Amino acid sequence: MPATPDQEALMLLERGDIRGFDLAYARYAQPVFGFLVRLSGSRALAEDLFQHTFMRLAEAGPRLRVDSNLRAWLFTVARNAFHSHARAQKVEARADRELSMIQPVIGVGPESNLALAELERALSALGESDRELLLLFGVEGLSHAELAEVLALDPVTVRKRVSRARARLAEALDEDGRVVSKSEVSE
Amino acid sequence: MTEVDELLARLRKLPPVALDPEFEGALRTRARRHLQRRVRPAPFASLALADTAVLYLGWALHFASALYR
Repeated sequence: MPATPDQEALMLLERGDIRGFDLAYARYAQPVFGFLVRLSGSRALAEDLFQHTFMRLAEAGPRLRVDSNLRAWLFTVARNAFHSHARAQKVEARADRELSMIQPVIGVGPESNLALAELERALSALGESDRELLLLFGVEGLSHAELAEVLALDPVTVRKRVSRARARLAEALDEDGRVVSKSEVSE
Repeated sequence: MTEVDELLARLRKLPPVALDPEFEGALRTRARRHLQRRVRPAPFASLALADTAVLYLGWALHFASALYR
């Protein structure tokens, strides 16, 4: 059976071949960075955490097993870096995020832009734990199993938490996809 | 499709966030350098170290045997 791109990247990294790093970077730099920007609400902080994540790959990559889940590993490192930072600084990522920092790479129509901007707002107003779940599961498309690995939880708990987070996001939006004002949102 | 599934589909449409090319370039260079330094063997340094160890052991053996002569 041919190796998957992730296995290929890990095999190259194991041999210390920089093409392994490049392959992993090409596949996951954008998703990991997007996750960190939306999770932290700060582009500058996201850059620091992103740098930490990929430097960890350069350091630990040669020791990773070829059958490791590279995507889950990278998101775990990124998430842990964020939580370590948050603990150290004793700051919770704020709800009023720098929305202007999220500049789309791909073009979308003006109407879609509006709807997506509202969705970004609703997402950023959620609690950190809900936001993290929805970013990983909803935006980045991690499976429940991968999510369980990243969060170090069992898959049943993960399913329940994702379901609750989705419900809270739905509550935060009205039928037209606009953010419901805080006083209208029931806890 | 349920309301929740539509919501999930919309989440998937959120655009990727662009990385600053300059920042990206610097990081990749640093990571590559780190990776190369970590795994590349240093043959001259290794050979020099091995030679020194062999010479030292030879000298120690010679010195010890001289004590019992």
